[in-house]
Amino acid sequence: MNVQHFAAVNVARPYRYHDLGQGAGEIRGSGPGTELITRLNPGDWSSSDKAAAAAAVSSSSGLPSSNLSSSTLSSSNVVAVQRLVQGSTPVTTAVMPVRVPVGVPAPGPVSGPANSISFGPSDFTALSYFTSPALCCQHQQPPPPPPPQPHPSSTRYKMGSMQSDEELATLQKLSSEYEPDVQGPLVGKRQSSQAITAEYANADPAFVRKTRALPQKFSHYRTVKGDGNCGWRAIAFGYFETLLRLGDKNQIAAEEARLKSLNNLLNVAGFQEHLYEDFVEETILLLREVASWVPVTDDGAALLAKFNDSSISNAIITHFRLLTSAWMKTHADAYQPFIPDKTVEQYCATQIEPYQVEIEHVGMNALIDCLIKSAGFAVEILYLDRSAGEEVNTIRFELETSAGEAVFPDAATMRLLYRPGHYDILYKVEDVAELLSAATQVQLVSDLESFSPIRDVPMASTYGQFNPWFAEIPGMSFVPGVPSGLSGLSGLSGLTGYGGLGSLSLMPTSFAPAAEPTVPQPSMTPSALPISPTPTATTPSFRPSKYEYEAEFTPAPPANLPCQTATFRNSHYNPAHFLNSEFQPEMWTPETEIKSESKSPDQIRH
Amino acid sequence: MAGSQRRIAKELAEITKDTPEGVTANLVDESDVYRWSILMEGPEDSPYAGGQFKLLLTLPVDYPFKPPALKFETKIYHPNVTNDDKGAMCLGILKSEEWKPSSKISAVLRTARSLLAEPNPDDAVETSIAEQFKNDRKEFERVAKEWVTRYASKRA
Repeated sequence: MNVQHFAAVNVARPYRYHDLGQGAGEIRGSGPGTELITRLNPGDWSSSDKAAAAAAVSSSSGLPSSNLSSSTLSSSNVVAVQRLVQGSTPVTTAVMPVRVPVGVPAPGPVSGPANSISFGPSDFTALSYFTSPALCCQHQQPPPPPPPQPHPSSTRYKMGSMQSDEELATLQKLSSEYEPDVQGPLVGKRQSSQAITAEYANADPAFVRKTRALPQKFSHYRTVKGDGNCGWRAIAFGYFETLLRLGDKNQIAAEEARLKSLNNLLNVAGFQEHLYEDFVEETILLLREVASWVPVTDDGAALLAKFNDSSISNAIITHFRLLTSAWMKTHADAYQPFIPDKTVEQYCATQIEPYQVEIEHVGMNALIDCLIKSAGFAVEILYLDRSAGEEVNTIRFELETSAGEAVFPDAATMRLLYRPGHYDILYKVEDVAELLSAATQVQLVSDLESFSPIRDVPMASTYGQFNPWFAEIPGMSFVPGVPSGLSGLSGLSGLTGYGGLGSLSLMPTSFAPAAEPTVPQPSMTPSALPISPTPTATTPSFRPSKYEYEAEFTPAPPANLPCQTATFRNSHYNPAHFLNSEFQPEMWTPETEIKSESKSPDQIRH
Repeated sequence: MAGSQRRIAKELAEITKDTPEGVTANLVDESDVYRWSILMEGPEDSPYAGGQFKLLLTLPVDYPFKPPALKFETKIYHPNVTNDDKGAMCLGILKSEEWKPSSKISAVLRTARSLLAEPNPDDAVETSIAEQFKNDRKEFERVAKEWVTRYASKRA
């Protein structure tokens, strides 16, 4: 029997076996050559669940089980703990019972299996990973149930003697042919990170604590398909999206030149040009397209579509895999210490270059060193695990001087959420706002026409008098029908498609949603929009700005375009600015306000 | 799609220019680049010497991101080839978790032929043949040669 092969499969797809059927069982193995006892509780198990659990056991420990032919794992709530220990230490595999709360619907936009799990009373210290299906890479859709398999009532095995080599070979074959049925898009739509909290609402307290803190700092997230490439794809997507977000055509051109010159690196590492040129070409083509999309008008939808085209997306991550491999081989001294049992060459051949092999920490380091840092970007990886603490642990990767100081302290940052075995993309609210503001700005120009009805309204001496009328404009009540606070976040993601945006968008600052959704912020209610002088408008505006209205100030009506007075012409309340493609409206972000009270007023960029 | 066709066409051109030893490759159907017909000669110094084996190489649509599949259309007595009508060959680099998009078809064919010269009984699909290969090499070679004369002799 080829145990090594089993192990290899296990490393390559660590998530595959953890999502097991409902029921209870306990399996003990005390090392090679000894008896493996399997106690199952037949009443609680559907046949597919049994087969799935059996598959997990046989795969993780290299011990045989029958009925492995059911290779699709069922996706309800049992946690498998696997601990593969080398040498003489016993190999332990346990399938643990869990209590499943009844009647908890799967919340959030992730339409997966019931996402709620609580743990049975036990001392499962080995359980460091995988508490809910959501933790596994294949969490987006439950795989279809496998066809019912006959299952022996007794599951008592002895190693070697009872299983013929033929059976083992069959098991081996089934194991190696197993393909997890992962569904969903390669890269998902951006959604509110409240969904993560909801997913974990009933999970282990450590997760509940950490995921609850998550949306306060990171307003949105984006799923990446767990097909063995998620870490690669997340970084690749983040790289292009950051370039798009920054919207600097010169920078994109510089990146194109840099990536082309990195072909030399591939040559040095011994890759043949006619093999890698197709992959490189897709990267270069997409870079050029990204440049052509600046300024962003679609909130990155075109980029998302490109990344969901598997031939483009796969070519790009293959390019990045090859680059990483070449980088590691040419900087072997830096990475060898982190690879205990292989040479860098072997590691690249087995863990970096093969398609569908998930990225590990060393590989992630090399990828970031090679691709991201040199682009002047930084990466933060947030580790969502069961370690102590109130928040996820964050590790920041960026270009540093030899003294350990950041070379670019303000580097654009992409953020990944790491749950054991899987990467997704996270966003802070300002990342989203930057992408959105560019989009809404363009929309404003086209929507200036829709502003015209105001010209027909008899101008009142004070805004207060036509405030009721103002409130009737569709969209003027910001994100209607949703409670304040929390809603700011979820509303934001749908903003570009929001019909009434045009009339609202004259005040782009109002888009900044509440940073701390769990704390209702009265200042974010529609009445606090700077343009709507409800009684609260007599108090100073909610953010400091040198362009603030005087209490009694009445701006010239838009009908007076083009403007007559220099004061108003230079004001950012002058809609004519929106005809200037270079104009960037001032944005309110809670972060900057807190951090830099003193310098915040000068955020207007030209 | 287009990407995979371009890559395959490139590799086909390379193989016709620089053919691996003892292997000829052609498209089964000129309009379909995803199916290749391979003629492989049994390596000298192996029980398969003198035989000519017909193989079918099938490339997935998302090649090179998924590995090609190789199967023997000529019956062969070999521990790493299934002894049924499928004739699937168990080749390490063709496993999906080991497949690299930067691998080439010519490398696959070279590896396949070297597996004929040196079977790998430790990664066998036909375990009884593997046992025989390990324990009774003479008998294995006798049967393998017999199969070559019966199924794989060059009739042309």
